[in-house]
Amino acid sequence: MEKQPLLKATNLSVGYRSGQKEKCVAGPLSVEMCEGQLICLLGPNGAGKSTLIRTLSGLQHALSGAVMIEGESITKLKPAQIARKLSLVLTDSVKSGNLDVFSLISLGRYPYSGWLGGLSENDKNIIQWAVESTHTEKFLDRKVGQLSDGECQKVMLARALAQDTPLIILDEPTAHLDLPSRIELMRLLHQLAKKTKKGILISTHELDLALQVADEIWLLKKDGSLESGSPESLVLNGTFESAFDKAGVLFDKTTGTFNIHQNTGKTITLLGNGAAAFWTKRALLRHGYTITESASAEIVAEVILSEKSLEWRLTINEDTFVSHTIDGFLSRLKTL
Amino acid sequence: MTEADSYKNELNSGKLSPLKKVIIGALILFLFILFILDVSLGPVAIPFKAVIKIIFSLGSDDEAWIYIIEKIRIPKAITAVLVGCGLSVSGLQMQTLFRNPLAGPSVLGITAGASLGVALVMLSAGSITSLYTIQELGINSSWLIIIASTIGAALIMMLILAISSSLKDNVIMLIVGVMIANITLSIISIWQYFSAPDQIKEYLLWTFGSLGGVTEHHLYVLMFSIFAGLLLSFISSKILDALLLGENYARSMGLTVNRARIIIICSTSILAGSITAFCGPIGFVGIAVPHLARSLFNTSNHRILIPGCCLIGTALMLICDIISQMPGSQTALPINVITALIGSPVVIWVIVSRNNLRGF
Repeated sequence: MEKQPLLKATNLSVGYRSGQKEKCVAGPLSVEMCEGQLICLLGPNGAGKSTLIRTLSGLQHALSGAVMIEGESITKLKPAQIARKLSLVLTDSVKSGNLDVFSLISLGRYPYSGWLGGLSENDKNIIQWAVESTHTEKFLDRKVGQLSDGECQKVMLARALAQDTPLIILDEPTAHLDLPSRIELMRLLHQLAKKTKKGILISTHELDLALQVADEIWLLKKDGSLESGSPESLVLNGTFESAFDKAGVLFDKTTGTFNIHQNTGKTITLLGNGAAAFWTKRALLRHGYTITESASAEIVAEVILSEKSLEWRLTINEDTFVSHTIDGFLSRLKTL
Repeated sequence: MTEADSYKNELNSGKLSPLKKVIIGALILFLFILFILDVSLGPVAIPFKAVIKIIFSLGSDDEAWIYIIEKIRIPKAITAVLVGCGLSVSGLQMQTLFRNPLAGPSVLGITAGASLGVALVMLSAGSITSLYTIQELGINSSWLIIIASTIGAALIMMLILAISSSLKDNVIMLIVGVMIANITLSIISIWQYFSAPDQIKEYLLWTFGSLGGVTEHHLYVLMFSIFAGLLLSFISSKILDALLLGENYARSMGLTVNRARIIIICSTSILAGSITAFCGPIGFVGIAVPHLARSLFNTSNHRILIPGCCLIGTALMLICDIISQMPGSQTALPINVITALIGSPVVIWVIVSRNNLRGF
């Protein structure tokens, strides 16, 4: 028999039902996730990412279509059965500040522990593994209320790992985190997917991180349709660009980033390479210049590294201005 | 200590540390002393030695003393223990279920609902809720009162829960709870308005709360209800632990949330309802003791907190009862006044010194 996908949605429509009225947020869509895959669910605000996540994880009923976990319909499974197949990290804050981290992670063993919640030797081993995988040893005896946002997310991930399920779904785990914590968390999830063969689904707004770590991207568009594929194929076929298309925001296919600066129409030739040249380029883009590498432009900026010191040389119609700091170079440029 | 060792310590943290064992041992000893002290004090002065003799069934020369100790003071002290356990545990469960550190049977109108249940039974019997009428009831009627007040408490709790699930905001939910309590109390007031003055006086006395009205077979009925409620809540301690993370997480861990809610509402209503039926609406204990227990035992594990609440709640009620008798005088103050007077500063002190109102 062919191995069933971990998670499969067919003709799924998600949304809210109040009385007789149905409000469809997204769908119909069909997606599939296999073991060992890290999938990022991207989409603009209000496209229905959270609703889709809630529906896929069984917290909310689908309007139509089916969600299957390892070949079984989620509506036919009991909560206790779902809990052994799928664990969650949600955006809900844990208000119980007096709960200590170790107890919180141990709660992940809830579906397996006895009727009073006692832990077996096996439970303890899995908790220990979850703690080590997420590097949360340091704050095991702290209270949840004393954790930073980044630490809290790692602890919630450790709890999900302790639940020992083939599938983990995370709803915006990187929200409120600073950049290093975001990268750390994404790298951790990537490694987990590869090492443990778990299927991991993340909804996120981190486009550049998602493009780097995801095996597959599910792109939920404003109109409720979903495109899936490898990050590279979505970028190259233009789907990515169109999904986030807004006035003044351009996706740069060559760098994989969004351009936030508007062009003023001035052109500059930039010569030189290395880190200094890269950051000079960023500064010039911020000031609205279009950069070329051919020497055709009226203004020529040159970054020269000589004998451990940096030099910026600005040439305009034969006049040359030399600065030893980028700030001096930029203030000269502003006077033009 | 190697890292592996520190792990083992962490992994055993579900069990009690030696320090906590000492705390529990000291508390139990303290409770025992308080119990004897409570029994030995009262309007009629009885020598301490005689009290000890009577407690340990060694008899006494004075028949009146034996009667006072066995029929009045011991039942009253046992009632204090039951009330202390029941109200604290019901408060603990409500704080976890509503995820709100200010939840408690008296704040959210659960005791008001119980009062309404009692009042309705009394009304249909053509009489008024009072200690004295309750005392005159037979065993069947006392069951009826308990069931009525439990149902009253459960109805109010389900109403608040239904509203709170659509609101999701703790502060608004608390306001709704207080409003519902007011509505319930005003229904009772309307009915009081049409009652005779002496009946109103009796009702007012009942609202002051009293531990002295529970004697003989009432005590057995109350004892049975409290044991049932405590057992139910101890069985649901795993459910309560899971609910600490909120309903979505609890559901994702395999908890059938609606069934869990019903179990918790049942045990809370039985506890708060039966106590209110016999002792009047006793405030404050339900909110305060869970906070004290969390501070003292420094945990949020309900397997430890539920017995912990019982110990601290019992101590608090015994102390309040001792003070309410105003040792050395012939008068006794209403228990409700004392619980608030003693307990509120304690709670303020705990919250300020630990800065953990958020940490429930």
